[in-house]
Amino acid sequence: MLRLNKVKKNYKGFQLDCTLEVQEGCVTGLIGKNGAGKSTTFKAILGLLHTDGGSIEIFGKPITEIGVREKEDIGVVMSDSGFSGYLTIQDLIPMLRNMYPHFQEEEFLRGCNGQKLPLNKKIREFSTGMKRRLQVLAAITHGAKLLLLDEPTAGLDVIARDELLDMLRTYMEQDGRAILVSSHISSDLEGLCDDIYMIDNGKIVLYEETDVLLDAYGVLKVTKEQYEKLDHAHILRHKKEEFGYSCLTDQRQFYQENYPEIAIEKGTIDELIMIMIRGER
Amino acid sequence: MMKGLFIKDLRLMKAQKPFFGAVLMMMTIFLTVYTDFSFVIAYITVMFGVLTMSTISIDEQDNGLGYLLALPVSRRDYVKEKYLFSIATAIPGLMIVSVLAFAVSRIRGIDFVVEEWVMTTAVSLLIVGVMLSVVIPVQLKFGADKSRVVMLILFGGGSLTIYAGAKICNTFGIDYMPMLNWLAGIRPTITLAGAALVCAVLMGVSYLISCAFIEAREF
Repeated sequence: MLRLNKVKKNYKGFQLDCTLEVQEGCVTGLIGKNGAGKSTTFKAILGLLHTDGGSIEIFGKPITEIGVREKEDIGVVMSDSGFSGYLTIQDLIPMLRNMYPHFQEEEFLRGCNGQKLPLNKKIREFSTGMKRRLQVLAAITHGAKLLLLDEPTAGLDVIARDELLDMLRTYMEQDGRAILVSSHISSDLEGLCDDIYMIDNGKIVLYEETDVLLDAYGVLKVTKEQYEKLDHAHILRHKKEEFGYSCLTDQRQFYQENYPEIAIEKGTIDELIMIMIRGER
Repeated sequence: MMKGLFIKDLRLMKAQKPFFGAVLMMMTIFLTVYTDFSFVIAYITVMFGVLTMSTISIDEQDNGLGYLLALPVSRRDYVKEKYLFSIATAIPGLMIVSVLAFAVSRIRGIDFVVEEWVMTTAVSLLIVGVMLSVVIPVQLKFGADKSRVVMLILFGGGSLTIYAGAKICNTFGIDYMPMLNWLAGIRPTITLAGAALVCAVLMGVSYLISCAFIEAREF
C-alpha cells in the first residue's frame, strides 16, 4: 500500500531519514515524541514537501505519478490543519460530494450526528477534538483504501479517543484497506496497530510487530554489579538510574530463565520508547 | 474536483455577508450622493476583486491550504480555480455596478455620457485585471501575511516608477501628452476590447507564474 525508502528531508538542525512500509490489511503506527519527524513524514507522503532523497510509493506507484484519481482513495487527517474555520459542515457536504465520487453522504451525516457535530456551526467554533473527529469522519466516508492519520487522537478526552479508535477498527473490517497512524500517546496505538515504527530525531529507531513488542520486549532493572555480570547479547539499550541501570531487551524470556534474581518488567510501550530514545547502546 | 473548490469558495463568500453588506451600503451611498460615477464603478469592481484575495487568505489560515492539497486537488487545479473564481466574481460585479451606475445617472439626470461610461468600465476592468494578476501570484508565493508587505512594496514601487518616469520625461523635455491624448481619443468600444485583451494576456501570464510559485511551495 505504502512504501518509503530512505526518504530524506533536510532542515536546519533536523534531518528526516525514514524507511517504512504499510501492508494491505494492516494498521501501522508511527510513534515518537513531538518534533521527532512524524508530521514531516506524513507531509512527505502527501507530496506537501519536496524531499531531498529516497523514494515514496503509494498503491505501487511512485509519488510523482500520484494524481487526483489516486488521492480519491486516500483519507487524510493532518495534525496542524484542517477544513477552513469559516465553513460549516453543511457547506462541506457539497464540496466533498464533488471531490470524492464515492462520498457516502448518509454515513457522513450519521457519523456527524453520532459524534454530536453541529451541522450549521462554523468549524472555527469547534473544539480541537470536534475538528479532529470531523476530519476522521471525512477521511473514512469516501471509500478510501489508505488512511494517513497524523495525530488523530490529539486533543480528545479518553471517551472520545476510544470512540475514534472504534471507528478505525470498524473501517478496517473491510478487506483491501490499510492505515498509517501517528500518535505520541502510545496506549492509543497499542490496541489498534499491527506493527509499530518508532521515530526519533528524524530516524526510525525501532520497528516491531505490536504483539512481539508487548510479549517479547522487557525492561531489566539491575544494580551496577548485576549489570556487569549480565549477558549483553540481547540488550538493545541501557539507561543509568539511581539504583543502577534500566536495560531494554527484546528477549525478556531469556533473562527471566537465566537470571531469576533480576527484576524484569514487561513494560508499557511508553517505557520501552523512553529507554529506546534516552538510553545508550 | 475543481467544482468542489468552486463550491467551497462560493460558500466562503456566503460566509462573508458583512463584507457584502458593507459593499452594498457603500454602493448605495455612492450612487445616491456622489456624482463621480467613474470612481463608483472602479471602486466597487475592485471590491469584487478583493473577494478572491480573501478566499486565498482564508485557505491559508492555519495551514488550511496544505490540508486542501492533501485532498483530491492538484496544485494546478487550485490555481486554475482561483483565476476562474476571480473572473466569475469580478466580471459580473463590474457589469452589475456599471449598469446600475448608468441607470442611476439617467434617473438622477447626471451628465454621464455613454462614451465615458464605456471608458470607465474598460478602465475598471483593467484596474481589477492588473490587481488580480499581481495579487494572486504574490499571495500564493508569500502567503497571506507576508503578501501584504510585498503588495505595499510593489504598489509603492509602481507609483514611484510612474512618478520618476514623468520627472525624467520633464527633465529631458520628452512630451508624453500626445500619447495620452491618443489613448483618450480611441473609440470607447475599442478601449473596452483592448482592456479585455490586456487583462486576458496578463491573467494568462500571471496564471503561469502562480503555477510555478505553488509548485515550489511546501506546506
